[in-house]
Amino acid sequence: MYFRYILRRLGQTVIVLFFISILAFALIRIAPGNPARMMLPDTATEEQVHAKEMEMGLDKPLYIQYIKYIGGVLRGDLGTSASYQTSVGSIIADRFPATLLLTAATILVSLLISIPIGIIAGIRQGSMVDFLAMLFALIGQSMSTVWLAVMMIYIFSVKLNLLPALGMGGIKYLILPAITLGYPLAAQVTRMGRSGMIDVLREDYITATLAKGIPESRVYTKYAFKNALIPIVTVVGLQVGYFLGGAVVVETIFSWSGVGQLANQAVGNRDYALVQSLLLVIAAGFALVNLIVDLINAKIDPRITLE
Amino acid sequence: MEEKLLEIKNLRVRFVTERATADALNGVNLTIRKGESLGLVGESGAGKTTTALASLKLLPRGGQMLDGEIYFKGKDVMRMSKRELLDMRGHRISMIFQNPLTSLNPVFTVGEQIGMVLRQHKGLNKKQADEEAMRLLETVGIAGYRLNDYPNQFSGGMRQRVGIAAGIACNPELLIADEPTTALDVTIQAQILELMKRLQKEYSTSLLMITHNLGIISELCEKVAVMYAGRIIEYGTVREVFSDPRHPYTRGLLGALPKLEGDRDRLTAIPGTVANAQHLPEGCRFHPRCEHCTEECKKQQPEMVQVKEEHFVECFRGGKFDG
Repeated sequence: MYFRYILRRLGQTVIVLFFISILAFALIRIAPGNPARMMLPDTATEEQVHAKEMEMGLDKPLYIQYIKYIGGVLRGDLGTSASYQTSVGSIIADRFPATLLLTAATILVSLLISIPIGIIAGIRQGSMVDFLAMLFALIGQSMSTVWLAVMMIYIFSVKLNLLPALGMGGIKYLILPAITLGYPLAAQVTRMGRSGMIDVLREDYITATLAKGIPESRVYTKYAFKNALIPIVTVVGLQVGYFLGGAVVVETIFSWSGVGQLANQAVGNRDYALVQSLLLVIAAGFALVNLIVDLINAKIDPRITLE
Repeated sequence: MEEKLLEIKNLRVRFVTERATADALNGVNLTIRKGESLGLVGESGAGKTTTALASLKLLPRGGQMLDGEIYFKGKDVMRMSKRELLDMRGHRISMIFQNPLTSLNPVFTVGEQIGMVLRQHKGLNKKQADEEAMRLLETVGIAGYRLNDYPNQFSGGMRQRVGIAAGIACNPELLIADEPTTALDVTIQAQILELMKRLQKEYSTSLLMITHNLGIISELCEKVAVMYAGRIIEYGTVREVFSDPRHPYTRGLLGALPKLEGDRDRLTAIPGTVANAQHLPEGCRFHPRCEHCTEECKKQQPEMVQVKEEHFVECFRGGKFDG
């Protein structure tokens, strides 16, 4: 059952990626601007531009270009970046670890805070703890990331001089961007944990578990929480997907040279090969995370594989 | 007289929500002795389940115990230490719930849900608990290899068997069964009742059977307590109460049952509707529906009076009506 479920989900993922490759290919070509002209000095003549286009294969019909591109992808060749003059694969491989590190730190920070707060708020619905937790969540969900980033830099770097504002290095550099990126997620997970617990605690099977003489703390953290976990895993998974695609705003503000920053530059340079492959890789990452989320959820709740 | 196992005295429970206040229990007195099986009957909302949950100190959110005492083997349940309370729940008293579709946790295997009681109260490790759970499943008529299946892989009747297996896991002194067959179809009901009867004999457990099905009471119980609007209004041996019901409400309940033999009369329905716990009538709570109502009934709460050696009724007229 579980194995067949995995196969089915993998099949769906391949189809999704195929359509994304077409979209990514088309989108960057719809955008105005000519990559051949961007490569050449402003003084270049029409002939020179035309020669460059032929060199880059841009004179061929679109479907030929696409087939050439997708053929390369299937052989593991993501193409050559026009602006970096090196293989797209190596550029992405170079930037990806930074984004991965930021993503991991963000998820860790936000879950460590939000899950305990959410559970406690749900158990003690209507209490002071609950009120404070909801305030924490309200602020986190309504604050803009840009403003939060700037305030973090202002308070912790400029005023208190505790943490570096920009760049990459040790763990010190990771703290501000991870908190900035993680706070809205923490807010959302707090809310979901709370409402999930409130719903679950009303269920008959929780009363039944308490009636079996299982201590409350274990009933809450084990028997109730597992039921509240599924929507949380889903939301966290989606967020991991977004973060892996590069948190463009946060990476740019904190000069974090990850995938998000790279994508921003690649679009500006009309670097067709880099943009289309980057989008494909990000989408593949997103699809992979979603697949993992579905598999985790199916493990948590066996009813899911039956749908 | 056997030792008193569970004794409830003058229990009053109120539910307070933002919108309304409901008086669920209004002075319940109830005693279950060792080895006894007591049926608690009444319409939905009479307070049967609330009585059971209060005995385990598990009133749902918004439920307040206003007054009364609950003793389990002479110990005040409300003053029990945390350890004593956990030991009572699931070990000394276990409860089977009404709806088997909602009373098993969907994300844990049935083995875990039986095994958790054993690990908690018998100190078994995972492996021993699994073995014991397997044996219990066999006892209730489910193949032991299904230990690692999830509740959604079982039918309603089988899930109730799982609930019963967990209920008898620690060989409790008192088993509370809260309408264990209401959600099941008739043939499955019979199987479950047969099973409970057998287990009760085997384990010599006391039973508190909550139901609105009088047939189940006569099958399984020796004593019966009839509940109306949060009070026990008639109590006695099943034989006494069923053959000579004294309270007009009990008479109504029995009159509403179709007879299979003899002359068939029209079924008699009790006029009116169940008392609303949010606006309970003054005096005897049954008086607006009672055809024998007097002025006294409208003003004063009647006391429980003894009509025979093992038969009590809460009615001013002691169940003596002309004609």
